[in-house]
Amino acid sequence: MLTKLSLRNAGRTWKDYLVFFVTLVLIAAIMLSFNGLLFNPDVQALGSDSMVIAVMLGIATFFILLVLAWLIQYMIRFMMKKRSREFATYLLLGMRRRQITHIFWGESLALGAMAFLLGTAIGLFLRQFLFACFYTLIGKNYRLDFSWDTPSFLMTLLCFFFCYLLALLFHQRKFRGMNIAGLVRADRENEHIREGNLIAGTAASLSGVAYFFLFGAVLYFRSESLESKDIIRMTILLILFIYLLYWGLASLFNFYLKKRGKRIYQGTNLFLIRQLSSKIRTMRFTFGTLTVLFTLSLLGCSLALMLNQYQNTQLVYKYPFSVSILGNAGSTMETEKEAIDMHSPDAVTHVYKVYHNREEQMRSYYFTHLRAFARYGVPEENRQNEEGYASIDSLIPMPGGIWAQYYGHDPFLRLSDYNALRRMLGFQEVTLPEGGYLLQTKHRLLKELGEDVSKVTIPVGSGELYLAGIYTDAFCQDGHNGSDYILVAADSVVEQMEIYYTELASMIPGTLSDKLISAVYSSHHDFSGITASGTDTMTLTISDILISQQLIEEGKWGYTSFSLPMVYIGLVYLCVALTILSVQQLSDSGKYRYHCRLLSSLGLRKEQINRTLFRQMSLFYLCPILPAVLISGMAVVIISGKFVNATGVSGCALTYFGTSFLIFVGIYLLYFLAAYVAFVREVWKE
Amino acid sequence: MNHFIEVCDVEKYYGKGGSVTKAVDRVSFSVGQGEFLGIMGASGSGKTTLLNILSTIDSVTSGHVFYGSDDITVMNEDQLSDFRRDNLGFVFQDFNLLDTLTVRENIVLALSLQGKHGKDAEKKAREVMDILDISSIQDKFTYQISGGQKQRCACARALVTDPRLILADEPTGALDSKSSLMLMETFHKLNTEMNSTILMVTHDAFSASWCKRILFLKDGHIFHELVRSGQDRRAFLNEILDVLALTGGEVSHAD
Repeated sequence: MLTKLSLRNAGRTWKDYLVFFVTLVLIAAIMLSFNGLLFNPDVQALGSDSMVIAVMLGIATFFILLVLAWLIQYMIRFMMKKRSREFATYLLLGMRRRQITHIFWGESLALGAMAFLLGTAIGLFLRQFLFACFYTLIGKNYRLDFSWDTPSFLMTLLCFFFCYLLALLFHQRKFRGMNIAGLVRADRENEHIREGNLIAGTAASLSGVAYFFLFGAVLYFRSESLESKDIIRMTILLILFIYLLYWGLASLFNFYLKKRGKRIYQGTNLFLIRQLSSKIRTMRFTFGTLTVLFTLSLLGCSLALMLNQYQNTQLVYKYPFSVSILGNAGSTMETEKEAIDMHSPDAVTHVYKVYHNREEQMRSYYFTHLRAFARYGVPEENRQNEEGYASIDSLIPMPGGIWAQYYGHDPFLRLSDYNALRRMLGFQEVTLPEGGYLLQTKHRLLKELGEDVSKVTIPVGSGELYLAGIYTDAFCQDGHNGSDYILVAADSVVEQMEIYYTELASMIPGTLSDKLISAVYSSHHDFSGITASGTDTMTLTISDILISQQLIEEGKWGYTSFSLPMVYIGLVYLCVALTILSVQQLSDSGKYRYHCRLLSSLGLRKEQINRTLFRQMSLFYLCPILPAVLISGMAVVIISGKFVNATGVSGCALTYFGTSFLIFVGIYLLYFLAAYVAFVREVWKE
Repeated sequence: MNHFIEVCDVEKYYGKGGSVTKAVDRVSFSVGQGEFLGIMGASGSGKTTLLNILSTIDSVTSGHVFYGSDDITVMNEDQLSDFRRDNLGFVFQDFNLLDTLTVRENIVLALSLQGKHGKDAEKKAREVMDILDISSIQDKFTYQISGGQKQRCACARALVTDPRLILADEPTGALDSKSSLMLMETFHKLNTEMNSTILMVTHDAFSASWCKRILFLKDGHIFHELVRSGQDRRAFLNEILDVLALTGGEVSHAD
């Protein structure tokens, strides 16, 4: 009989808390899909790369388990409170606490099991979608695969029920301490309205709002000088102020009511404000937590979009040649070229020299005009090392001081070599007027250089070269074709200079075979010893040999490893937060039924009451979201602005936040409409 | 009549420090086997607190309550659970039926908790349902039946375990007059034909007129007692109304 009771109760809970159930199903499905990635044979075949994604997904899973355990314990506490009279009845019938605990555990686990099984079924389909996205992100094709994956199923099962058991254990002591009188009293709780100290509450709430703007201002004006510890401190303060905002928000509303603000007597405003302030007061901690979850959700999705945009556009820009090899000044690159030609006869390869004339006009200009160096000031001396290569007294401290951003002298390329390379890349050839030089640089730096760059002249022999044009096409400028920039001058001028180093660039049609890659690596012996890198920060590979196929694949793996977990966390947090809001609202339908009857007897028409309910629910839903949108919006706009500047990725700073906001609003509206329809139906139920 | 329930000097305080409210103040009385006892009083007089103490829902501040030789004020939680299961039956204003179970299952559950299963339990439940005329609705869920039927279902659940005492707290509070009459007739039948001992708290004089004895509470004290000794119900009702007229309008907040 007790088992039957447990199962029947689970069935009722499923109906009463449909939103919670649906969210559990969704989380189980999402978790199963992402866990599938960990055990996917294609992913595991990638060796160390699969470890990266495993670690990232592991970290994401940890944060998801935290919030899932919180959701379940929140719902268990909520259901226990709502069902306190029922538990009192059990006790009255002579049930022991242990038996009640067993019933509750039984029904909770039955509900969890139902959600998990349904989630698993849905997860099999969701996995196809996720895998298709994942394979596209890493540039591979995916074929639908519905085969059963036992390890990911077991891992999801373990994670899911670990949270369930943790949440149930957390509330175990409540069963031990319950008594009938207390349970009956608990059933009547929530009816008191305490106003608290209105001044203190209002001040706390306003200080929360003030801090949000301060946070935005600091992020906007001081972000360059912020250290990690500053950001951690600011974030902790932000979370504290979020809670402070909600701690006093009800007082702010009540303060307005006390002051009899003009709008309170318009329509049903008085009813609305009272309802909202009462709800906020009882849910202030929950609202704070929901705002934190919404903020993380929006930030996670926006950052994921940024990384995705970067990996889709910038990696190809950084590594346009199939193979780039850097060698010392005396290198002929014969063995390297032979290796390429042997494995890929269709390859178009060009070997050329890069020169310098011991001058550094352009280098100094870059140092003094790029934001990357602004924090460290203008260099006092840009000494060369003994070999005349890159100086290691760079302005931006690099790990162990092992390399520098720029070569010690401005690197030069012959016009004929430059045009040969442009032809290989499919760009139009360029011409150079007499006495001029060209600047080939990275697109993202163009704005920072400003117009004065055109005034930079380069002394050559007894004369000077003037800047005749700037090109920003993809050109592999992380140390190979210069670092960040290279100057192009007439062949006759450049040939008068000293040889800096030798470079090989090759365009190879089709996919590069492992044999070819291996042959290229083993053919290179005349190492350059040069360690200039340019100022890119997102992706940096300092190596004599750059093979674009490998680098793009690795890069995509790297960014996908970061962006996928962020989307994962964002989606789950959003669903959890919206579930709490919906369940809270739906559980009040009984109370609202009474209020609506009352409003009806006061002469309000049904549609007017429904409109009031709509406004009340909208405000209730907006309450934890507005600060989250404000905070994450500020953060994303500022971070993405800097991201665009730092990476040169195309797109307005608002693109990332706007897109994730639209996704967010879409899911939000789905939950809101489902909750509103169910709420109105409950309220008017006879 | 045996005095098998003895309430000795029971006190119950609520609150702490300077705001202590005395809900029940040194109350003593006894209940005989087969008695139908009513407790009446104005709102806040302490009648529900007293019922809660007798039903082990609430604890005493001082004093003792004996069921035969068992003192319920010294029992631990598990002993109290067993005591409730084996000795008490409850009928409340808001029925307290489990909405996930059918009428029959609500009744059988009480037997299951006593370890009675199978045919014996089914037979016993059927007997009680026949007595209370709810056999025809036995497979319905509680939300599918009327208030009167719900209360009879609650009575059946209270009765099916043959408790030493049936406790009823405002049992007619949520019923219409016809259902109230039916319920009181049922209580009368249980008391006279099955010799069930019933303790009922009510503020409804009509319901109280079915009792054999009534204790009137005021400010936590027993201030009057009426015993129905041979007179008809209408005459007893008039007596009750006379007593209530004396206490009318007095309100405290102890309850």
